[in-house]
Order: sequence, then C-alpha cells, then structure tokens
Amino acid sequence: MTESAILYDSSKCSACKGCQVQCKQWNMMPSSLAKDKYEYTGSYQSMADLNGDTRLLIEFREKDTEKGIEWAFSRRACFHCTEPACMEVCPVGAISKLADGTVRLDSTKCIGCKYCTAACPFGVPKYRPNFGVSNKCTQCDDRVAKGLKPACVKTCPAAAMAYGPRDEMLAAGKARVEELKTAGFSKAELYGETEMGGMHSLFVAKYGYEAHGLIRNPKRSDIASLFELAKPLAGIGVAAVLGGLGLSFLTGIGYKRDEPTVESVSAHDAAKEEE
Amino acid sequence: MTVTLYIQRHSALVRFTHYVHTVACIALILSGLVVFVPAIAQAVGSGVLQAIRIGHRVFAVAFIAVPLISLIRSPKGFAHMMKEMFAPWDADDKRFMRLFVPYMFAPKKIHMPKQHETKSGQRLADGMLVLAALLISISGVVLWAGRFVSPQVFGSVLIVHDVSFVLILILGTAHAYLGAGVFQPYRGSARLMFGDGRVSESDALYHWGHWAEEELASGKNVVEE
Repeated sequence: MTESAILYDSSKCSACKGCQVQCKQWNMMPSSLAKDKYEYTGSYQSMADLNGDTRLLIEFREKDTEKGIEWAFSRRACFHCTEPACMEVCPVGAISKLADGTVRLDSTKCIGCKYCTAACPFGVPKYRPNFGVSNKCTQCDDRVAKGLKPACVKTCPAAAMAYGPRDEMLAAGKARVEELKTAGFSKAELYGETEMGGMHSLFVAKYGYEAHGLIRNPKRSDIASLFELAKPLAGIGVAAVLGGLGLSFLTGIGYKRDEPTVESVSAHDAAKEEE
Repeated sequence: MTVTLYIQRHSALVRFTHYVHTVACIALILSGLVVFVPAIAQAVGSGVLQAIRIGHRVFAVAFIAVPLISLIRSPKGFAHMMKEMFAPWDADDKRFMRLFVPYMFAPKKIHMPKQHETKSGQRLADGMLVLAALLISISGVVLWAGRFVSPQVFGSVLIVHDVSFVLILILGTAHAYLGAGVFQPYRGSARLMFGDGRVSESDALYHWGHWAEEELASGKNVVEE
C-alpha cells in the first residue's frame, strides 16, 4: 500500500481553527473550554497545548515587526513518525502503524499508563482522564478507509492542508518551499521528510522550524532508549541471581550443619584463642 | 523430656508487617511484571489488564501504609532497626562479608564469624531493599498522580520506578532464598517471620553468635519449649 501523508502549509493557513473544530466534531471530542472560564491571555490560540479532548491545535506565535504583527501559525498534532517511540513503549500494543504510515492509537486497548506521552519527543499523546486512556490524532483512519480525506483536510477553507500519497505530498511541499524562498522567505523549510525516520504529517514552515516551534533533529526521548535497555538488563540480572542461587542450592545438598550450643561455642572460642 | 531454649527475636507487630509486606510485594511484582513485559500484557487483554492495574494500586496502598502504621505504633522498634542497620562494622562484620560469597557455594567448608543482632550482609542487603522500597513507593505515588506532572517528570519517575522494581526483584529473590531457608544452613529461618518469631539456641548461635550469647546471658527474651 502507498504511504500517505497530510501536508500542512503554514504560509496558506489563516488560523481560522476550522480544522480544530472539525477534528472535534468528527471524532466526537467535547470542548475542553468552558464559556468564560479562562482569562484572555493575549493570544488567539484556543488553549496552551493539546489535551485529552483535543487532538489538533492551531498554535499562534506572534512577532512585532516593522510591518506590524506577524504570526507564525503551526498545526500541532501527531506527526505519524515512521519510527514511533510511542508505539515502542506501549505495554499493551494499543499503538500500531498502519500500512499507509498512520500511527493509530486504539482506545479500546489503551490502559492509560501514559508511557506514550513520556516517550514521544513532541509530547503529543495526551491523557484523557474521563475515559482513562491516551488520545491523539489517528489521521482519521476510519474516514480514509472509506476513501475520504481526514476531517481537518476536508474542512480547510484556505486549502492549507492536503492529503495524498506521501511522495506526492513531499514533492508539493518541496516545491512550495522553493516558491516561498523565491518570494523572499529565505528561512522556509519542509519539516518531516527525514525527521523520526520520515513523518506522515509534513509541515511547510514559512519562517523556518524554530519560528514555528518545530524541534530541529528530534530524537527519541531518553525514556524510550532506557526502556529498551532496562528490560534485557532486568532479565539478565534475574537470570544471573537465579542461576547463582540455584548453584548455591546444589552445592548445599546433603549438608547438615552442626547444632552449636553455648558450651561447644565456648570450647571452640577457647581452642581458637590458644591457636 | 528434652527442653530446648528459644530466643524471642521478632515481635508480633514485626511479623505482621513483614507478612503483609511479603504478600503485597509478591502481588506487586506479579502485577507489575504484566505491564513491564508487553508480551504478557498483550496476552491477557486490556480488560484483565485494567483489573490487574487496579489490583496493583490496592496492594501498593498496603505496601506503603502497613510499614507506616507499624512505625507509628512502635517508633522505638523502628529506631532500633535503623540503629542496627547503620551500626559500625567490626572485624567480624568485615570478615563475614569477605567470606559470604564463597560460603554461599561451599557452606560445608567455610565457617562464618559470629555476628551481632543484624549480620553485616543483612544490613547491606536490607538497607538496599529499604531504599528500593522507598524509591518504588514514592515514584509509584507520583505515577499514580501522573496527570498532575509534566511528561518529562513522568518519564524520569517511570525510570526510577522500573529500576527500583528490578532491584527489588533481584534483592527480594536472594532475600527469600535465605529467609525462607531454601539454603541448607538457613533451614528453619522461616519460623522467624512466618511462625512465632522464635529462634532456637543453636540457630541463634550459628547465625548471630554475639547477639545470641548476650541474649542467653541476660535471659530476658529466652523461653523454654
């Protein structure tokens, strides 16, 4: 099966948040914002970060320039890595990789241990307390299976998102970066071509990775590496102890030790002192 | 009728605490293994796994609460245990440690030196076990309250929990081998924690020579059977 990907173009995004809303609607995620509950922070961003009920968030990064305020918008959601650290640490196999590259989290299998959140270099999977499970973008695998586009892509009025074969999305992303560079955006870059083995959610960063809050050269979190190390080490340690104790047991077979008394001990002590 | 002298070594409170801790520890190791080894978790399925996770927390409460209750009920006993654990080592203690590994493989040939109330090796192993128990308890509470901590803190604490788990698994296995009397010279030791807490005169002299002599001389905790 051909690998698929979402291509997000931050230079076309108007940050209308339609994708956020559509993601919630399709996946039946309630709003985590209660009316008048949160104080205005000075940003148009809905909430500080993804949460258990929010799989997709449009982030606003604001900068004062000579031309006025400029925004670097970012689509924050799962990147669907080719080498997903979340999948490696999941103790129940609730996270799997589909043939098209989508990293899927099956909430019916998830036990809510939060290992995936700790392992993901982007901190994407979030715990959903009401359900006791982790939650993250599944690239609308249910829609895709029916030949539809992911809900966020379908709804984007600015055509800032596209979905299709990964190689086509890569080519389109690279071409767009060249266009942006020609137009004077010299820092424009495409994110996701090689990061974490190659991502299935690509990102045209108009102002460069850092301006959009993207991690340059992301690496598997240390926890994933330590997990890999801890388990065989534990196995070796326990096997060595059991082996050692087994040998100790075998060498003691048939041995019946003396039953010392105060008198025999005193006699032994006296004899030792004489020596 | 032959009369055997026994020394009352452990109180009912100590034995009860140890008993509950043993049961809780075994239950926690088994339920923890299910999450630690993904193949087991996947084999049992998510429904059973959730039940095991809840059980893990119930036993964790017992694991943490019972020693704390014992500490409150007998602060002097706890202070005595700590004093013993951190007592300075004498020549016999050092010699005991030097001979311990060869003794484990050749108990017929190696004679161990006399020991005080807590053997030097016991102090070392128990100290590490207590430290690992503290670490696993604290990290377990933090993991339980995982939604209130950052993913970075959660990840670091998870590593502490796993390392402590491995430590307890290894130390606990060795502890059970000796304590339950599987090792021939330690036969009968199980009575100390799982029986009436008494040790016979000969066993006491064999294991804790200095302590046994003091106890037998004072006669305070000596009983006849």
